[in-house]
Amino acid sequence: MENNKLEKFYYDNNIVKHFAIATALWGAVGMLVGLIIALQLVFPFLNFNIAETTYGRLRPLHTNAVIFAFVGNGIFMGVYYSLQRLLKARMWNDTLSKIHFWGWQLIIVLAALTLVLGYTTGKEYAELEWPIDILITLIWVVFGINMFGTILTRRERHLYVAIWFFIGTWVTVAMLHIVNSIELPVSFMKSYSWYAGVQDALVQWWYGHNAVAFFLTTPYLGIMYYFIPKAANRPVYSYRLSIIHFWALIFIYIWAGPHHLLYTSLPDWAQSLGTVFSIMLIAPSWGGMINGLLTLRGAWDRVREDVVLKFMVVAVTAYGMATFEGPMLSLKNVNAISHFTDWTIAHVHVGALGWNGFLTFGVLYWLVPKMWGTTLYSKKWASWHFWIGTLGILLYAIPMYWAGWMQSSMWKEFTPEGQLQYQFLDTVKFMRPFYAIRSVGGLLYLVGALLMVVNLWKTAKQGNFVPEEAAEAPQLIKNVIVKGKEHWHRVVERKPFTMLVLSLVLVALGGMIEMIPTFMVKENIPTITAVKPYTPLELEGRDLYIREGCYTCHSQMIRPFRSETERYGEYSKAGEFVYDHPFQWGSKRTGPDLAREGGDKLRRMNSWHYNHMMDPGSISSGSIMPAYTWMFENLIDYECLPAKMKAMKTLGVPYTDDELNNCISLAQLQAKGIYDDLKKDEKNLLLSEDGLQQDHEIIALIAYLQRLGTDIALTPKK
Amino acid sequence: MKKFSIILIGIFSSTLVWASDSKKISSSIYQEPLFYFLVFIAVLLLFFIWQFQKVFVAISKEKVRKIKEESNTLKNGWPIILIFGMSDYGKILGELVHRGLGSTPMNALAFIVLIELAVVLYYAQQIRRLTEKVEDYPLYEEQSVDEQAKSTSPFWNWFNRSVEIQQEASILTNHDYDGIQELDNSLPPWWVYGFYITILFAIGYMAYFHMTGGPSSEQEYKAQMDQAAIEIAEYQSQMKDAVNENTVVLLDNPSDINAGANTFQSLCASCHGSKAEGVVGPNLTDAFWKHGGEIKDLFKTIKYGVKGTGMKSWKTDISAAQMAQVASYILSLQGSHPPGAKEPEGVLYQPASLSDSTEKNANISDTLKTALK
Repeated sequence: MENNKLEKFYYDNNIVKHFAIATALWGAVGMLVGLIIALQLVFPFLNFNIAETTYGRLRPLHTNAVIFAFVGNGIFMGVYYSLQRLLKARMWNDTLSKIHFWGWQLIIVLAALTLVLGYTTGKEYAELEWPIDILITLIWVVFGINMFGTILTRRERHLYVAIWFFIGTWVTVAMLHIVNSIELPVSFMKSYSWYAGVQDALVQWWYGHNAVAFFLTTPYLGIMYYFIPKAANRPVYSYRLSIIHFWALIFIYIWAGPHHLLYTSLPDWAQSLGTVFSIMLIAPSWGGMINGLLTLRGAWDRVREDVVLKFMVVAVTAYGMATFEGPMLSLKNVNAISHFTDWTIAHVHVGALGWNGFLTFGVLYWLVPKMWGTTLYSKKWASWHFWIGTLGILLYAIPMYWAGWMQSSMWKEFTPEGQLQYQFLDTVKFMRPFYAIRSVGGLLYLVGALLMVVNLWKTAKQGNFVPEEAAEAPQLIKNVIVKGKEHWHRVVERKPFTMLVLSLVLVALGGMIEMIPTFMVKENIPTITAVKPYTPLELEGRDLYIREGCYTCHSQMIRPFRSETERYGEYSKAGEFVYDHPFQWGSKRTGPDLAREGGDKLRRMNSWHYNHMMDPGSISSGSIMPAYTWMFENLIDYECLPAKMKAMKTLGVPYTDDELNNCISLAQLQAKGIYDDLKKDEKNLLLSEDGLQQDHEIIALIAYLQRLGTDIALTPKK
Repeated sequence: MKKFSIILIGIFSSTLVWASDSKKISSSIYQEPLFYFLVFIAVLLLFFIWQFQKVFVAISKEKVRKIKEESNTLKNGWPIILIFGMSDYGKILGELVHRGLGSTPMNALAFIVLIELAVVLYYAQQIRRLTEKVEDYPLYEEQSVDEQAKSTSPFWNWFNRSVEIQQEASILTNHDYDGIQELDNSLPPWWVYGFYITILFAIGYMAYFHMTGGPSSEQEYKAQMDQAAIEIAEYQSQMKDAVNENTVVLLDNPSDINAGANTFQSLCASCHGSKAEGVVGPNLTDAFWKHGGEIKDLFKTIKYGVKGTGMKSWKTDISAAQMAQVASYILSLQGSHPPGAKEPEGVLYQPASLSDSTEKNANISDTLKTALK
């Protein structure tokens, strides 16, 4: 190797700069939207009575913006910077880099537009409609080709641990995205999930959980493995720990999805797998934390002075906290308390604000002065950012933990006579002060981030950006003979494709073992003969329910607890969801469960729903639900019904030819029934300027709500 | 610093002004004024401590200059701050006990307050310290091995089985990635055994629930319901006269009527109107009833609801006594003619004592029968 001559080449800093700017920009946008929706829960008038700014549409925008725009660009920034240096090679193809960058920004813009316009698949963190899904796949492949091109043209024989994480991330995210996004297009911006009910839920949470694992965790661990040793100027603590925790982490993580579905209609065995793999995940997760924190051994003096290290230390600590808490929340008895409450929200924000946010800030504070050949404009501001941000996290998390716990206790509290102690609305009112304090936490965090943006901008202005950074390294000789004994894993580190395939096999295993039986074994989803497909009007109403993002606040999953069956009615059965493409179980109860909204226990008059949707506060004083006034002006799109029914039939919903051919008139007939019923009560209705009309969207929504949970009431009791 | 505190306090107090509004909402323990008082105190305390700590640091600034070892002065600061914090906190706890509100939620809040106090205190301290230090200390890129070793703790080295920093060369691999080197410390034993324990837990968990007959979700649910049934039965056997639809009588005691009015406002007014004038639900102030106008009829309608209408069953929401109170309250509104009253629905009902027409009675019982079908 010594006699090989040095090659001169240039690192592409320009692409890193692009991604860094995008990270900061989308970070601010994502956090701002988060702050807005947090405030909407305190002050419902902030929904402004406009469809596009309603909570149900902005919440997916917030989650998508933070995960895929902020952290997504953060990943690419970190990867494009570290990959080139760790491999001693320029990115393989500049054009691909540019396509990747601009393609990803296009996806973000399209996502933002379509989500507020109400185009959504209704599956959390996978809300984007099918044309955007395809675009994401293409851009992800571009990223993969560019990354592997760089790996193949490297001047470093072995792949560093950061790159293992990047490879694992790439292949797993590709798999997750493709499998979960299999959907049948109905029209240009509308599709139905291929899977239904329990199966859709399993696939979705396999995806959703691993979006956390392989989008928010593994790439960031890779970034940690590059930037912490660089910033601390210390060797990585333990190579063998890297090996063990990497492989254990990717293998075990993928199984844990069902812990989002404990006590639901998912078969018990799958739930248990989710629980035990979550518990086994503690050590592999902590392996990353240990390796990060112990790398700082001997550098703790500097941690106190160096804001970059401070951000990174808090980030890694937050990671450790969140990855310990997560498995605890996966225990059945803890989950029975935490699920559907704001506890979960607190948990994810410790991860998002602490781990992802702070690590990103640390990297930015390190990277920008470096690439612009200067020092940070103001260390004082950066230090302020650190403390404001930390305080923000605390003010966010502590009230939410406390409130989530209380929320759950209130839901479960009974009087000695056996009645529920609290109406759901009481719990909503209880939450509002906590939502308010949480918003303050969010505001502080955002202010800190903005302070950083200004600081970095000033830093860039005072320096000179080096777009092409010169470097030298000897060319890699093929087929070198290894002398002496070497660690077995070193061999794998020389073979990127072996690593890719090995990662894929490991991550594919867990999903397959959980999914295949759930799909193939009939006993897992016992059929209920009384369960019938939605009528055309109900189907349309369901699509409106999805469009408005009702699932962001309302669950449709009654768990087998006394406190839930007493409040909502019989607990949900797997067989009830067989025609639900997509499932709408939800993950949060800001409002009550709606699985049996039309059932015996909760059934309300059409006029109740009509007034409630027009002005929730008029019926439920103290409600924080937004008004949906536009549904009293927009007309039902009957014309799209035949295509929708046909798509459903393709997916296996047993509509008869008669129903297919007459779906429009069937829908109109049902709408007329509801209209006639409402007409009787017209004097007491809260009407829009358009008055009571048979073809308003609200009629379809009422049809759907009144249908919810009625099937099972028809089954005779055993 | 000062501005920041002011802004923060501003935001807090606006939150609290708002929060104190919601005191009036209901009488539940969670909306007790004391609860908000506690929240208020918690926040106020944070502010006081923060300010106090600021003053303290200002006073000891001279010391900080003289003694380079800043840890000494900080150690001196802690007890004072803690004592200050605890004394106030103690007052709250005393207040809590005094008021007899030693309930779990309140205690939990108190606990949270304590934690919050400690944490924010720590951070406030740190903020102060950092604003003092950042500009004074130059960042140093390189430190000697011995200097680095000083900052490691022997306990942690032992706990993690780490090689001492001075001996690190012995476990340094020959890896070098863009200047990043890798040590090859052995796996921390606690981590390895922790991992084993979780694996054993996993095996045990699966075996218990899926091989040795651990309860399924459904069985857990049944057990829960059976247990509840037993508890309720026990409670009811202790309560002498739990009313039901056969034994209920019209209550005229003002406290019952008031209690009924409260329940009515929180549960019934959304459909029947705050004056029972009828909105989407029927007017309850006239003499016309869809499902019977006698106290027993009302009780029954409330308890079981009416299928196919918007009237749900309230038996899982309110107790029998509350149902009797609400029903009595509603009957007390007969003939009140509230503004905006909805037109009559159902059939005219006259109390049996006033009714002189047997024909009408027959009519009513017929409609009752059909309605109750």
